Amino acid sequence: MWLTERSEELGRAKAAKVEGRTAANGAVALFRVAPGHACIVEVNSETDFAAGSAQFMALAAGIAEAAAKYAAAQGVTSTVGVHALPIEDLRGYMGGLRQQCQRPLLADMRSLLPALMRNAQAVDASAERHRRVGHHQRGRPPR
Amino acid sequence: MLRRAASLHVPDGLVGAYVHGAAPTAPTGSDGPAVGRIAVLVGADADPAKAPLLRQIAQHIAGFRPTALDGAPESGALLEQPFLFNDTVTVRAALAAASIEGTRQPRLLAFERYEVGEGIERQAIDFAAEVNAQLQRP
Repeated sequence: MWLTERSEELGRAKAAKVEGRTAANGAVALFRVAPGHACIVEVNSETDFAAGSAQFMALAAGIAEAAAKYAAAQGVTSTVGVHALPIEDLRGYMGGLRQQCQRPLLADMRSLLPALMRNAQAVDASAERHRRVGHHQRGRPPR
Repeated sequence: MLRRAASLHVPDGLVGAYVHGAAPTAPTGSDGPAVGRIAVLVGADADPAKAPLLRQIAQHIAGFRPTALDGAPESGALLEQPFLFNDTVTVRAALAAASIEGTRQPRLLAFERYEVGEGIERQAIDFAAEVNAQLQRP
């Protein structure tokens, strides 16, 4: 878990460094959930070059989908009309979604560790055998 | 950086959607996500058969930037604007014409239009002035 915390800390430091810059480019993304339900978001970048990348567009699309889930979780989908979604709350909600995705992944990795360790030991042992065999082959023939 | 987000819901009706300026690699499915430079949602109390008309109205909103749904024509009200796909009639008249064919009269309820960077103040860069300033430096 310290890895997650450390990367978040580094990310926040990087974000603080570029906070003063104007991000007036970017993309808008739309996500339709049903014939009568849809969501739009605007995600900004400093340059249109960054905004044109496939990763940025995938990010914008992912945020639009998360916003649609957030709207459903907030129960606004039953009220007719436009709902401006509170950005800070939405960010918090997306952070929660990310953790939900990460936890099973970390658990999987932890369960895999013993097997990985055994494999590593086996590889070590086999390398050691090969080394000995090699030594014999290179050595003087037995008298 | 996430700047703003909005959702539009008409549980028993339709939401027309349109994204303008989508890059060739951007997802543009009719369901799911679409990415571009202008995105429009328009909600209506209407039958599912009116989906193509609602998409046209969303395209109209993307191009004509109405400021409100209803009101005086000079204030930029959507219903009073000449319709993008038939400029001999207003959007209101186009909706009324559609109601003759269908069973339920389509009624627009709300719309939302997002354009990248609108309302963000950019620092004006005067390149010529910058060069002059550099040249005048000792």
